[in-house]
Amino acid sequence: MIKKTCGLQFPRSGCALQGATEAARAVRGFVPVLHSTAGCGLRDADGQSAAWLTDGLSDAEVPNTALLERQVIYGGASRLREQVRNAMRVLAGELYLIVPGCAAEMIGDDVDFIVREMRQSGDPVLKVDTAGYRGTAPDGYAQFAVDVLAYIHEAGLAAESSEKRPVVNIWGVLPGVDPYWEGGLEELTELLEATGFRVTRLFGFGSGLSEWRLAPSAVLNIAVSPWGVKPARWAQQTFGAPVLELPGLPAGPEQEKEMLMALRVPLGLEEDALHARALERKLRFLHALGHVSSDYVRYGFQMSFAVVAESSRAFSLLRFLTETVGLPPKALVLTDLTAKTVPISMRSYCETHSVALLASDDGVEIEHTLRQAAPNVILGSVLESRVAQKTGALLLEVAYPILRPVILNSGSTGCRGTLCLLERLFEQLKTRSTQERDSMSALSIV
Amino acid sequence: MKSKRTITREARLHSIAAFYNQAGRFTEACREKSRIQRVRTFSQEYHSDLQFVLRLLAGMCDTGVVIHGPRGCFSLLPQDIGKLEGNSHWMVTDLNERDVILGGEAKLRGTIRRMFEENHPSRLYVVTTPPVSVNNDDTEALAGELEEEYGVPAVVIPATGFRSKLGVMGYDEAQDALSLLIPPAKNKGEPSYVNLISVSESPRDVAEAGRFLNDLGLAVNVLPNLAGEHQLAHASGAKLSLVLNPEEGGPLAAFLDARFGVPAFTPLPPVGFAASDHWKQSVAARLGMPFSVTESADELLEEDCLNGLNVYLMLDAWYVVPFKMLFESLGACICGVTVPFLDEGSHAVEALSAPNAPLLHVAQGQAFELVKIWERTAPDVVICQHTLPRAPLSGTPCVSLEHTGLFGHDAARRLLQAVVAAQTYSGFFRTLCDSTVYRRGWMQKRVDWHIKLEVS
Repeated sequence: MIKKTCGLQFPRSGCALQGATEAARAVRGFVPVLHSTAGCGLRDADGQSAAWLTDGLSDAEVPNTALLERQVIYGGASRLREQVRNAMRVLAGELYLIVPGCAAEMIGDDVDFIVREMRQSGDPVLKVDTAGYRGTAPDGYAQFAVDVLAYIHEAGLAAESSEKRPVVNIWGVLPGVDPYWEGGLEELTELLEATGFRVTRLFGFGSGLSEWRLAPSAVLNIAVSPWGVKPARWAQQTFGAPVLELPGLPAGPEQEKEMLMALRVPLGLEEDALHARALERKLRFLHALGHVSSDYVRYGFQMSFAVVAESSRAFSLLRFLTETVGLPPKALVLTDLTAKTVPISMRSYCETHSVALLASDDGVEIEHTLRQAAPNVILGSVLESRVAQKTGALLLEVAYPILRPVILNSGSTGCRGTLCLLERLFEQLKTRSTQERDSMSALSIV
Repeated sequence: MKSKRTITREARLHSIAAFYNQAGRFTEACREKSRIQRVRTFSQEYHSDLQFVLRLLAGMCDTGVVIHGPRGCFSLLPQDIGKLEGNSHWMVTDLNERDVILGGEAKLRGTIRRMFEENHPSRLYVVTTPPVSVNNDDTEALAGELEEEYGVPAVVIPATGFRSKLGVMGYDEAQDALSLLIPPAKNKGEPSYVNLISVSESPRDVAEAGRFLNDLGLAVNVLPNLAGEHQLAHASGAKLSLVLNPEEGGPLAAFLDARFGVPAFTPLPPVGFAASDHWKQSVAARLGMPFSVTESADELLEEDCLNGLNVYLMLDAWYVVPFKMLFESLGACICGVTVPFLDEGSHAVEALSAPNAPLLHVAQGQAFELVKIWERTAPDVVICQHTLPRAPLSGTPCVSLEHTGLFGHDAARRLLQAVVAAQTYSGFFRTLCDSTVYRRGWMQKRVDWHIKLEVS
C-alpha cells in the first residue's frame, strides 16, 4: 500500500469557500458575495458544470470582488464595500453573505468591520468565515449553516411556523458535494412530512430566508451526515431542540424504516403508524423492483461492486446494494473522512462482510484500493474513470465530480432515489452483458 | 529552470477587459495614449489566469503538475480531468491555515518528492496560486533544488490570480513555461512537418485543420493542446508554425520564431465557407504548394438563408470578423458583439468601427451586463464560443460553437442547422424565460454604469 505522505492526488471535495458558496447558492434569496481573486467560486475551468438556475444564481453569476494587485497590496476593503452595495442594487436578494477568500484573509481586510457598518445601516449582510485554506467543502457547508443561524439569532429574526405541525430541521445534505442532493433532500422531506411534521426547506426549491427563520423553532435537528452535526449542535445549544444523528441518508425501504424508527422516540411517533407507512413504501418499492427480476438472472446482474463517495451516502448505498439487491460488496471508500473519524458501525460492517475500507480522498490511495478489490462495478465519480478503464469495471457516476449523468430531479436516497439509481445501474449492466454475449471478437472466422 | 515573469497583456498589448461603446473609441484612446483601462465596480465571477493555466496543462499529455495551494484550487480544473488522456498526474499541496501563515514550502517539497517517486513524470510543472503569491513561498528555489536532485526538468508557472484583469494571461504564463522545455531540433535537414499551434480548439477543429495539411502531404505537430513530450521536442524543427488563434497561441509561436527561426503564420481562421477556402489557399501559398478549391461555396450559401435574423456574437475577438462575414453573407444582421478581452490592433476593432456597426462589449462572464444588452438589442439568436451566457433564461435562443465546431464547411453547415433549429423550435428557451435574479429597476440604468476608468 502506498503511504500518503504529502499532497493529494486528484482530491474531490473543493475548499471551504467553495462549499459555503455552493450552500449559499442553494438557498433562494441568499446572495454570496466573494471577496477573493477571480474564479475562486468556479469549480470547473471549462464551465461544464455551470447551469443557469431559474430561481437562483449560477456559479458564474456569483458576485466576486476579483481582487487585483493594487488591492492585494493596499487592501481591498473599499472595493468590497463598493461591491456589496452594488450587489444589493443589482441582485434581488434577502440576505447577502460576504465570503472572504484566501487572499483577502491573508492581506487582513477587516470584513467584520464592514459587516458591522452595513448592518448598522440596516443592510442584511453577514460574513461567512470560510477562506479556502480553512477546510474542505463540507466544512464550508457546516460553517455557512452556523453563521446564518447565528445571524438569525443575533438579528432577532427567529419566527414561529403558522402551521400546527411541529417543525424539524434536516442538516448535512451537501449542495454541490452530493450531486443528487436536491432529489435526496426532497425525498427525505416528503417522507418526514408524511408522518405529520413540517420540514424546513433550508436548501433547494422552496427555500429562503423565511424558512431559515423557522429553524430556531424546530423540535428536532436531524443530522444525516457528520457535516450536519455542527449546525445541529449549534442549534441545540442556542435554541434547545435535541439532535438526532443518523448514520447517513437512507437508501432503500429497510433503511427508510430504520430512520423512521429512530425518529419514533424523539418525535413521539406511534410505532404502528410508522410500521404501516414503512410497509406501504416497501411494497411500492418491491412492486417496482419486481420488474427487473427476470433480467436480474438472465443478464447476470449479481456483480461485485465498490462505492467511492462521501460518508453520508457511501455506507447507505453499500448496505442497500448488499442487503437488498444482493450484490457482493468489495470496497468502501469514504472520501470525506479520515481513518480516525470512521464510525465504528461502518468499520465493523466492513469487517463482517470482508469489505476493504478506506477513508481518504487521495486519488492514488483510492485507485490502489480499487485495484486490489477488483470490483465489477464502481459507484464513484468521474475520477474513477481511469481505474475503471484499467480494470475493466463499469463506472456509475454517483459522486462529485460527475461528467456523464444529467440530473434534473433524481436522487439516490430513499425508495424512489434508489430505484432511479438501480435503473441506471441495471441499464449499464444489461448493455455490457448484451455486448459481451453478442461479441465475436475472439473468434477467428473464415 | 528559471521561469520567466510574464508581462501582463495590459502592459504588452494594451488589452482591456471591460468596455461598452463604439469600437472606434478604443482605437482613438490607444492612439491618443489616453487612459484606456477600465474597472468594474460590480463584477461577477470569471476565470482568472490560474484557471487558464490549468486548462492549458489539462489539455496536454504526459504531464506532472503540482498545484501549490489549498485543495479548492484543484477543483478549478475541468470536470473531465479524470478522463485525461496520456500519462498525466496531478497533485495539490493542500495548504491549510498553518501553511499559509508559516509558509508551505515543506508541503511543496513533500508533494514534489511524492510526485517524482510515485509517478516519475518526464517533466514537472509547479503552478502557484493566489495564497502562495501573497505569502511569497520561494517556489522557484525549491523546484530548482529538486529538479537537480531528481534530474527531471521542473518549471514554475506563477499564476497569481490578481496581476491581470484578463484570465487569458494564464495561457501566456503557461506558454512561457513550456517554451523553457523546448529543445533545439536534432535533424538539420529540410523539415517535412508544420507546427499547428492550438490552445483551446476542440480536437475536432484541430483535426479539421490538420487534415488539410495532411492532404498537402505535410505531417502536423500539434501543440500545446493535446501535446506530449514528443511534440514539444519536435517543435523547434518545423517548417512553419501555423497559428489557429494568435490571441491564445501567439506567445509560443513568437518564441519558436525568435529562438529557433520557425516562422509563424496566422491566416484568418477557416470559419464558414469562403473563409475556409481562403485559409486553405493562404496556407498552401505560404508553403509554396498548389491547391484549388473543389467545393463551391455559393451553392452552399443558397441552402440556408438567414434573411433579417438578428444575431448576437459572443466570441474571441479573433473569430469576430469571419463569423460576422459568414452571417452577413447569409442575410443576417449582427446586432451586438461580446468579446472576453480586446487587444490593441485587434482586427475585430476595425470591423466594428464603421458608423452603423453594433456597440462592442468586452467582458469575460458578467451575465448581468449581457442580460441588459440583450434586452436592448433583442437578438433572435446568440452564438457563443466558450461559456454559455444566461441567454436560455432570457428567452433568447442560443447556439454553442462547442457543439457545432469552428472550422471548415461541415462546421458551418452544422452551425446554420443549429441556428435554424434554435430559431424555429424555441420552446425550451421560451419555457424558461420568465425567470430572473436581477432587479427590474436596475435594468433601466445604462449598461456600463458600473464601469469606470481606472486610476493609475
